[in-house]
Amino acid sequence: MDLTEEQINRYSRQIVLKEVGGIGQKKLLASKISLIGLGALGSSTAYYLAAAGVGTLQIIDFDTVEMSNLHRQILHFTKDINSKKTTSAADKLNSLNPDCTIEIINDHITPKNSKALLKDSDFIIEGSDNLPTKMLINDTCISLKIPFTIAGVLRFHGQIMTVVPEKMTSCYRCVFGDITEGDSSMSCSQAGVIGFVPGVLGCLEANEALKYILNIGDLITNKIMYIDLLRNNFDFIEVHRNNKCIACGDDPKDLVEEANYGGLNACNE
Amino acid sequence: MLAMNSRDKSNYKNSTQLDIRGKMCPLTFVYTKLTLEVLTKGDILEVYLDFPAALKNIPESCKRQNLAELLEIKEIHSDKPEWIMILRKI
Repeated sequence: MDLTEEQINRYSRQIVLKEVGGIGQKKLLASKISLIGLGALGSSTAYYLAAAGVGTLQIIDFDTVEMSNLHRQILHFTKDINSKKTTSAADKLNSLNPDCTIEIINDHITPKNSKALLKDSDFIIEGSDNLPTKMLINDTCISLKIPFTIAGVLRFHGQIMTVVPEKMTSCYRCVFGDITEGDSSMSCSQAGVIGFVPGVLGCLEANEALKYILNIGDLITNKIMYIDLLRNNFDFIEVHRNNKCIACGDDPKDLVEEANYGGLNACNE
Repeated sequence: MLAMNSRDKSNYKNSTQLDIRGKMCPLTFVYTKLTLEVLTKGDILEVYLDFPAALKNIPESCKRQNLAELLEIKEIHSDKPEWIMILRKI
């Protein structure tokens, strides 16, 4: 596959980079990345991955755009209120870069469909707003042995970690255990969130995907990056694989078949 | 891509020619880099160019990225700002 004149011009500022070049650009154009959640995290992730020339971006969300989304979910405009988030996102991303094929999944991601939806991906980005989905993506990706990154945000702070199952790096369950039911954590709707925080973390998620596809730099593995934009803190917290982890430990279970993911198990029925 | 096979006029055997006359920086380096990426170590690339800043920028970027070394720069015309830059792939 040769790059066209238009592609050379479009991607020139990243082809110039030693770490990308024409070889890297062709890898990006041949890659498929799946993105779960087209909210605030997914907005910046999707924009930058489409702009960078990822060949296929599978976008998954069941939700519709609401007025209260617009201060942070920059994929969606005022005219998109009541539209499906997938449709709204595809509209913007197709306009941004026709090189990027947008595959729309207008559905909940659940234990019943997660493996089938994600199995062809080179990298998976979790950008949902709830812990059961984060755990489901963790367990699905470990079962499929596909690398992934998970981020979460609240108020002025957020965190991100990447997991590479084939390298047996620490997974989300190694760190957070089994918090899929009776979740007492607060959501953005209750606690609030400033839009820039998911903007920054969505960019970091896109950056993790790009680095993995191009095999460059260092991933945020075996650590959590924690950011606090109110106090300007960017910290790394070291974490370790738990060999008793039920998802990735020495005696793992295929949790997608067995675990209770709160209300997710009942979706698609 | 503007790369061509060896010309009879070339002083270098088995060289590849790239004509980027009309292109400005950083595209001058981008096209040079894309051509060098598909060559093998020791291959010669002759770049035809007319953007003066590229005479400095291309060799510097090639050196920084360990892509190629500059062998020489020749004027094509004495009355027109056009040059051939000879690079050897590293």
